[in-house]
Amino acid sequence: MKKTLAIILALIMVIGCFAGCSSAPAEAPGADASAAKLQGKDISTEPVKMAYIPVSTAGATTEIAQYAADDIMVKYPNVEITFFDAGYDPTQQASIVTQCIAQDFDAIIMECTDDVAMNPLVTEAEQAGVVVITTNMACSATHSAYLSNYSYDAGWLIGQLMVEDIGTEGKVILLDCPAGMVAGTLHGKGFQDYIAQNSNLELIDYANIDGFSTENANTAMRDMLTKHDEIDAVYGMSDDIAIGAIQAIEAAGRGDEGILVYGSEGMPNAIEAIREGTLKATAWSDRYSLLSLAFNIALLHIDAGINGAALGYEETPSVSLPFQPVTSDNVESMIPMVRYAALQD
Amino acid sequence: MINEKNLRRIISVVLIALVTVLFSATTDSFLSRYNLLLLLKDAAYTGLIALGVCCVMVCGGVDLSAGGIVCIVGVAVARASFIPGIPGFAVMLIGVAAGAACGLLNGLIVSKLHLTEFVTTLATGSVFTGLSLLTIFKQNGRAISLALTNKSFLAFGSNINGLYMISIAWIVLVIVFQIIYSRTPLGTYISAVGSNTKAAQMSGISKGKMKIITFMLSGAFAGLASAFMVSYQTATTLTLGSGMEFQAIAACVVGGVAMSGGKGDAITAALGTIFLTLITNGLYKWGLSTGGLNLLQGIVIVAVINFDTLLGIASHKRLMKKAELQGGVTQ
Repeated sequence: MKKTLAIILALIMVIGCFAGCSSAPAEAPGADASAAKLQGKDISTEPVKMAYIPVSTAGATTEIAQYAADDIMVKYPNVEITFFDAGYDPTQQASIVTQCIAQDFDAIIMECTDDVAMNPLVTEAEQAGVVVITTNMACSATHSAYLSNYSYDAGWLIGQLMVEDIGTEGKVILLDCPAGMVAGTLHGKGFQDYIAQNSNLELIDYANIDGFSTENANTAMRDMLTKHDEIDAVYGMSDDIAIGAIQAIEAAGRGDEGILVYGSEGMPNAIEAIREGTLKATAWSDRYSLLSLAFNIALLHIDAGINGAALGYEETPSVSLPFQPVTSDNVESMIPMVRYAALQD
Repeated sequence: MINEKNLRRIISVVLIALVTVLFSATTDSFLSRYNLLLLLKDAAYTGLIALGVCCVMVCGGVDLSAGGIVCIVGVAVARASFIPGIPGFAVMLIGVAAGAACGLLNGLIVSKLHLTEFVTTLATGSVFTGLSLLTIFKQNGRAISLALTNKSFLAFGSNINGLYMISIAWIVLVIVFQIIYSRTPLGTYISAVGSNTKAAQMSGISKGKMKIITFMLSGAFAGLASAFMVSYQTATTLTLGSGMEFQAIAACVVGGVAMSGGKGDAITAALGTIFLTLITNGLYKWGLSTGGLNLLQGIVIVAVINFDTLLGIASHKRLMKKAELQGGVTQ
């Protein structure tokens, strides 16, 4: 019986090997595959597969990403854009990237969950002839293009707004991204650098908020409120975090103390909160324009049959789109630009 | 005569074959050389951890700290790789030793303090993850991802014509540990303690010693997997190993390792790992969203566990009937 089982197992493995060896290419990454891939495609008529891999699809910005993808797929009906969720996990994102290579995707547009751990995968993809474009969170490996609303600028902008609102003296709190992502998510760093260089604002407390979640931010802020009698402002590096801070302040009965709360990203909950007067400001990133540009740049590369590896780039070409402040002064005029369906009348 | 163990293995092999046929018929690249080598690599990450977790489960326990061990060992090997002149092999050994040390802690708490394994490993998993946050590379107080530069260590994350080092290590270790399970006293003692602890103790087998050994093995395997992962990624991250303990346990259970202990071996864990990896790989090719992927994986795991339960009941009924018949003949 054991011998029979062993023989069956061995047969399956041998069949698999022969099947693999004799199958049509999707070969291991190498010169043959990239040469075949990089002959260019007529993006108007030939099937094109693109993958979009953000750090997570759980956020509100996925809606905007979907609009950008849908508009591309309407313009080019033969283009298919598939969304994958990296779940904030570099290992999962690595697995997704290798799956995309195996499935002969033409382009990968991604936010790197880690700026170093994703290097081998990005290099592997580029060498396999895939056009790799990173958005907002890049890696240091050279690839086809990097487009960003540079997160450092968002933090810097909020620092500017905060100093304008409360002056150069005061006590502030920073609720930052999850600890595992601080290397690539620079809102907090930009904020800290601005206030250090341009004010005497004192950073009295700091926390990393797991999963960027409102609930975790609420818990962290609640604890900080018990520690600090005097707080002038709070910066939550994402709007979900900022909303959590607002909830904690109101639950603690300190909503009348004039603690100003700031966020980043310009999500629907933040826009509503600015309208209501509970959130002071947010730094809005035009995710639609960023991703439209990314998808179009990918299509141009695919059409021309080029990518960063094939062209021998020494540095990744990068494009930076600015953040825009959203405050009570301009929130109504920003509604059409942010595009979220729930906000449109 | 097909016994229950072999029947379960045949079923695992048939399931693997069915899934392979299904996905190769419905997708373009499932049986491509690149995809098969990719499958082997992905299976090896979970498979190495599953080999260790299987030891603990066969001995009647559970190890929920494997993910935390992967995380802290990741930091340890990343730091060790910067020791001037240290060869890559030594860094890998440090990873294994660090993992074994974490496992030793688990084993000592369980055997000397008599705490339940579920609670112990849940707590230590959290401790290990917290320690990794405290010890990871930092710049101006902020955790950073530092690119590793030790070429001889990074070579362990590379491949030979597409076959990754971790895949080779996994295959070798499955064979080695299958021999240990089936042909050595250690394997017999592990199964004995898991099957019937009292009977094992009456036979002179020390339960405490077996617990310590199995937890150390589990930690060592997790440490080895971590070292390979860090060498492949060329960096360590704070999410390294996150959730992998559950993947490893799922692989063992799907392969036929009994949660109650006493049943299972390296082949069982490997078959379960291969099956789950095939499912994940194939579902990605179907273009399912992450939510759909998780949902289907969960359904498959529940279905297989249910099947195992029914198989166990049927086997028990068959044995009872046989015993009745024999009792009738005697009378």
